Amino acid sequence: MKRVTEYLKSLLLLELAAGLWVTLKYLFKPKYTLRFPMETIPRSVRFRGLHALRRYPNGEERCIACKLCEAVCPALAITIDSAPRASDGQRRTTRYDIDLFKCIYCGFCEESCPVDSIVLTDILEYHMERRGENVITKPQLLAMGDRFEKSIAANRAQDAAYR
Amino acid sequence: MLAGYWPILLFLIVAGGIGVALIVIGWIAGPRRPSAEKYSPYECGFEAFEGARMKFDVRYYLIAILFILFDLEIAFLFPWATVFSKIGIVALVEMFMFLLLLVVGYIYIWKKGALEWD
Amino acid sequence: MSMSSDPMILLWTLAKILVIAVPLIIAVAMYVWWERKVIGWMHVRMGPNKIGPFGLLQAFADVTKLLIKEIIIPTNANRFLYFTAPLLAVIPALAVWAIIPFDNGAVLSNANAGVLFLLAMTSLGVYGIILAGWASNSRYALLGAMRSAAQMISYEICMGMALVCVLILAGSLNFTAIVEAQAGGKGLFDWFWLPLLPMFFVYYISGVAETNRLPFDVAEGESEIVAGFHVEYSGSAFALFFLAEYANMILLSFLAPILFLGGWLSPFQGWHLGWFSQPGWWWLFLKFFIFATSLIWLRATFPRYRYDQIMRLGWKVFIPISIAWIFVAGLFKYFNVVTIGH
Repeated sequence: MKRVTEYLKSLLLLELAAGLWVTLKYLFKPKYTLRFPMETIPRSVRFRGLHALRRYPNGEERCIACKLCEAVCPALAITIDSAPRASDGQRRTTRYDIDLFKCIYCGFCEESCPVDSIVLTDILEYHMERRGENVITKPQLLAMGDRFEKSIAANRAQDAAYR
Repeated sequence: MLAGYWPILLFLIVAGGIGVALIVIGWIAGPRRPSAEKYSPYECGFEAFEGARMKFDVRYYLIAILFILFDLEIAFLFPWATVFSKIGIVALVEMFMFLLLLVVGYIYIWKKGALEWD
Repeated sequence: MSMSSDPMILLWTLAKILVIAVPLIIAVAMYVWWERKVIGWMHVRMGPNKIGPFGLLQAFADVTKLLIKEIIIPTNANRFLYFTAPLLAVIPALAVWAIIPFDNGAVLSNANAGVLFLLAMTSLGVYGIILAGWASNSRYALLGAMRSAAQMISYEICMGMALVCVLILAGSLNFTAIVEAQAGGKGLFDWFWLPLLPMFFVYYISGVAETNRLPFDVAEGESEIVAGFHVEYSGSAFALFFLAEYANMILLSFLAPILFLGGWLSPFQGWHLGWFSQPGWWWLFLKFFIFATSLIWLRATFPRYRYDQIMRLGWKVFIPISIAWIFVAGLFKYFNVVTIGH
């Protein structure tokens, strides 16, 4: 008897019909696709994207060349040289390079920084067009900081209560 | 009688023209940068062991032979089916006998295992 | 042949051919777009949506891309046959439309032997495939061609027998006459799908196998033999195979309604529903659209059959059913169980 019902089931292609019904249901479901350049998902204030070097409100750069970030970096992506600044003799970096190919975006540099100079912004849409552009230099990092200071500060302020 | 068929011939010519035109357009518009690797036969990345002119399974020949048998039978059935209603009982009985003979042959090849595929 | 000597009639016929062929090629492009869209929706994706409104121009962008790609001729290939094969695939796929009626009288050549011409043209398609596989002189191509050819000829038998059943009932080889034979006062219950129900399914499934569509696409089987018979083809030569395959799918979606579902006849004929009971080309195109979409639906749903299962289905299931139903159809006709025409 069981074999007869099994045979009838396979003859009527019930399983195939069930499969077709599943795909038909999915045809009308709302789609998960995000049209990326036009739409983006909400981004956390803790998002760890492209790096930037910040300045104080009076325009002085924060970084004091303590090299803690260079020491903590697990991927050895940061290279720092330092020297006394010519104008006032303060210790400053002469070179601050981050190799974006080495960086794993762990955020340790930001955590270790005593003066909140190096930060990871929430920018994830960037690219390189030529060889060597993967290493970003101090002027580029400072420019990033200048350009996005508002959102960097806002994100840090929003997150401050949980730190 | 044949007058109704020459548009078909014309359509065949036009279809051939469309096909040739597409290839010619592709030949003219596409680049041509020869390299030995690119022009070698595809073999999942490594070099071909031997040519493609190899032996293949005899079952394919068997299928082809059986296909000719059955397709011929269908060719016989076409005129029969068209004039069926005009001939009546004779057509019915004769074609059923023909089909029965074919069914006997079909059962024979089934039993012989010509339809197995493994 | 006297008519063809008149240049005006020749030009007029040429114009009619272009009126069929150009929309057909555009329909192929639109069908590709619709296929990608529907499969996308069934995958809970969006499908192409960047080029043109709703991505409608995607197919045209793809065609342009194919046309400006390099046509690669493998070193070992037989150059003449290598280029003959796509032509042999595409010429029958286009020329067969000469005898397809779109409405009562709207047909290029109302040939008496329309069904024979159809069979001849669909059989020719196999040559394109097997020549492509042989001429490329590549193992994958040859394997794909052998599989594909064996599968197509196997299912051609079932298709032929399904056609014979239709012919027994309709008593004509002419497509217009076949559609008119399905007219009657009971609307869709006068169509041939009802007395020939098993053959309708046999025809449809054989058609899917004949066009090498999923779930019968072992000929292409990306994961097994990469792309089958056209693995060595690129650029516009590949585009011709693509065109032929999709033109054949559109053909199948037209033939199934014409042979079994009353063509351009209204499903409510004789039900006195006013406009809805009138026959017209829109019914044929509606039925075509449903069948064309169902092919996509099958592709989105089912995994690929195993090759021995395909051959088993064709030879051991469909052929016995078909032979049996030829007997049944003959008896139907002889005892006038099915009413034909008005």
